[in-house]
Amino acid sequence: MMSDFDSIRNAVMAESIRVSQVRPWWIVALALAAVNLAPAAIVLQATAFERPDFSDVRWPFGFGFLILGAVATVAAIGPRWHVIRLSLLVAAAALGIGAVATLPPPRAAVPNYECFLTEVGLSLLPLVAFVYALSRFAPSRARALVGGLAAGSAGLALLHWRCPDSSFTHVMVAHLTPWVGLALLALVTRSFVRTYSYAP
Amino acid sequence: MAEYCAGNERAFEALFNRHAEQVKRLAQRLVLDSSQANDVLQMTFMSVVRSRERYIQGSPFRPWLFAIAMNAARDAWRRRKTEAIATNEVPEVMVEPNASDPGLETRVRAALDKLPHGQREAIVLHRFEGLSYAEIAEAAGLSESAIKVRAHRGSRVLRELLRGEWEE
Repeated sequence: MMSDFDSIRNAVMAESIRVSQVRPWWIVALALAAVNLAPAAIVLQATAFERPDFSDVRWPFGFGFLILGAVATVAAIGPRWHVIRLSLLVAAAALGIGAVATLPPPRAAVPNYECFLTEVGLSLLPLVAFVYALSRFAPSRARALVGGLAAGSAGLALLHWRCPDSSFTHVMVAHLTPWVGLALLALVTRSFVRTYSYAP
Repeated sequence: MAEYCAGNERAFEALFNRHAEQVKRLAQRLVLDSSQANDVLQMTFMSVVRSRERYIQGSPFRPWLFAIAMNAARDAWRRRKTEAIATNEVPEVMVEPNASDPGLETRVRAALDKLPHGQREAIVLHRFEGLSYAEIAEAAGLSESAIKVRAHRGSRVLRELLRGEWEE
């Protein structure tokens, strides 16, 4: 009769033959960046008839969110960099506070639900992709949070550039809350998804 | 590991044969359940296969392998606790009797079961598996001083729980 040990050896040897090639993590990171940017880029393209106001102080913050998203994508998927992941959470908080502290006067009022749903809609596909990619890593709260922030960053940047309502309440409720909510959603969702690999 | 990453399947079998016993022992000490320890062993080597591109060439293999085993054990432990809460049952500590002192083995495992997972990891890896604090820190992705603190706190609790049997 086959012992537990032998059956485990057979199972892992079979897996070794089945998984003959493994994709490098940076290819996964590039794919995630593409999935993250694509929906926002399509919407940006579709609304390009609106002339962007580069003098608006929100432009650099929008780029800040995009850059944070790019770094967060690499940090969420990269094999190490635990300290960078934790630093990114602090950087995200600082950027969010900076963004609401420097808001210009609003040009128009926009219902909160419109921006909220836009951001969630733009971020859902990236979020699913991130959670799937994160299931290839050992469960980590920092990874999940950073991945969730990355998934919501392109949508947030787009809203920060395009939304004419720069009132404090609107930005807090309809722009930043869904961003943080998406990060928490990534954290919760990841905890329910089966882990494919426990490698750090 | 370098040979396996280069495509040599036999090298992986050799890695399994060399380290599986130790991983199984570590898993048993961390999850305290024989069947879950087998799951952890299997998931650990499955993870090596599936994530071999993340192994840094030239670095020691054992801390990396133990990091994977610790992650798998942590997840198994979390699931076991969640299931125990859901079914309102106290998780049973599976113990195989030690021929020389069956009572001591049981008491040590029961005491380990009472420790937070991080402290148990630090103690099991350092005291039972002989890893240095630096190796554990690398495997856990924490600083060496953080591991020392965990081991120290865990040892203090264990000493209380095993009063009269604990030897430094």
